[in-house]
Amino acid sequence: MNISFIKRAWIIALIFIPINSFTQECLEYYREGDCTMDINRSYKIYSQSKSFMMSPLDSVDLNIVMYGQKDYIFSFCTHAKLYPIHFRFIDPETQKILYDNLSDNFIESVGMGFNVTRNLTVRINLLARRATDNEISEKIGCVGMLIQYKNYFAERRHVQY
Amino acid sequence: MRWFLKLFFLGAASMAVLVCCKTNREANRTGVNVLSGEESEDLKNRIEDIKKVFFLCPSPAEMLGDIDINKFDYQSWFLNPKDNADTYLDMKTQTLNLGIYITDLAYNALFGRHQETLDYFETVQTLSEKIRVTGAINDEMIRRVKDNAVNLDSLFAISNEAFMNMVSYCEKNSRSNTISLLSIGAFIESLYLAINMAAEFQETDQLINHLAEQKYALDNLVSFAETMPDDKSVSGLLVDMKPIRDIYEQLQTEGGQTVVKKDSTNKLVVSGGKKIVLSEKDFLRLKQETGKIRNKITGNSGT
Repeated sequence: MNISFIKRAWIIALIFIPINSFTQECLEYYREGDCTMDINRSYKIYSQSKSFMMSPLDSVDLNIVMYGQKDYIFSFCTHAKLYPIHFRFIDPETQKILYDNLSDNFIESVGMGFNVTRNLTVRINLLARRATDNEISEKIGCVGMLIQYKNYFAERRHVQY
Repeated sequence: MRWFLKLFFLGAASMAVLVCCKTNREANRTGVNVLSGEESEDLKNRIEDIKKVFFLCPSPAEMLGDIDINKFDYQSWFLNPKDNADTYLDMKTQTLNLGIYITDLAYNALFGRHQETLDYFETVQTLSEKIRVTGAINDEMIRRVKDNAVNLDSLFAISNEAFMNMVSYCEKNSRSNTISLLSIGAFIESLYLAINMAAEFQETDQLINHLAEQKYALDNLVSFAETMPDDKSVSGLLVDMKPIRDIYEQLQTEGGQTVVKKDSTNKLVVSGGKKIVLSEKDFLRLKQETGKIRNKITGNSGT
């Protein structure tokens, strides 16, 4: 029996099978990746923070709800070879681009205040400048969007008994 | 025998490669070109027609947290009684009511009602285990609630964490329909509680504005639910929600253009844009329809 051939076949299978289940590994990426460097203790983590898997050939749209009278910090993170991350904030109704991080040399985090509640589309592309052409067509990785928020004015909650 | 084994393993390896490549190829076929003219030619050439779209919604704690709670009194009779949890027998009713209870939990936490928060935590834990969303609320979280008797921010954070854990668990296990039912249940309850907090209609009231602005969350919830047309539980719920959707669809808007400016700290400030207006007539209709669907879900009589 050619044991080495069987081993090789299993190794090939094992290399590829986990890639398919890799999506699950991405679920908490915004809590684990580079995004964690932007965690600010005076802010709360917004539940619409999201992690997902994408390649430089993908484009991802996230439709989110931003409550008014709040400050937000948006942070984006991915694997080293997939940077820079190109993100744009788009008004879903008019398709007008409200902000494009191209204008800030693909900065990875941005502070934003919303005076009124509105919906927002966040469009993400990976430019993967450090990846080769082959890597661009093959590489797929986790992307995290961490959103933190705090109210414009300090909350004055009281306990009611 | 040797050839058979070789073929078998070669086949297994090929299948694995095919399975993991399938998603991208399918996405390729259904995508939309998203590049605008201002982007670099290099990027344009590289990006193919693949587009993934996510519809996200705030947690119940965040929805209720948007309301200035200090202006209102705690009203336990609006909440779904804990004992009702035992009467929900099928998976759809249990999931919807889990959404209801996790919102009630957030309501208790926002008002700093420690014992009630703890009670609803236990109900949420029991119901989440019934629908096999295990581990979203564990004993360690219950202990943290017990330990945070006077820390309101912690109670709020823990109730939020419980919801996020549930969504995360469902994503991990490809249970999009559970996320949809859970989120819609939570949305209906947050709407129901907010509407009932408003004793009377005042157009300029922050709470009335909040109710009008819930259109954005509803739009995302519906768009997400519509990605599952073959799921009868989800599509049936969308039919039940139609009266509420119709009210929101015909609301008037006012206001002008969105303005984005950078302030002195380099923070972007977004102001202006359209404002959704909820009239007294729409408010009363919304109150009636929300009460109907909420009580249909919970099995309670009255509105």
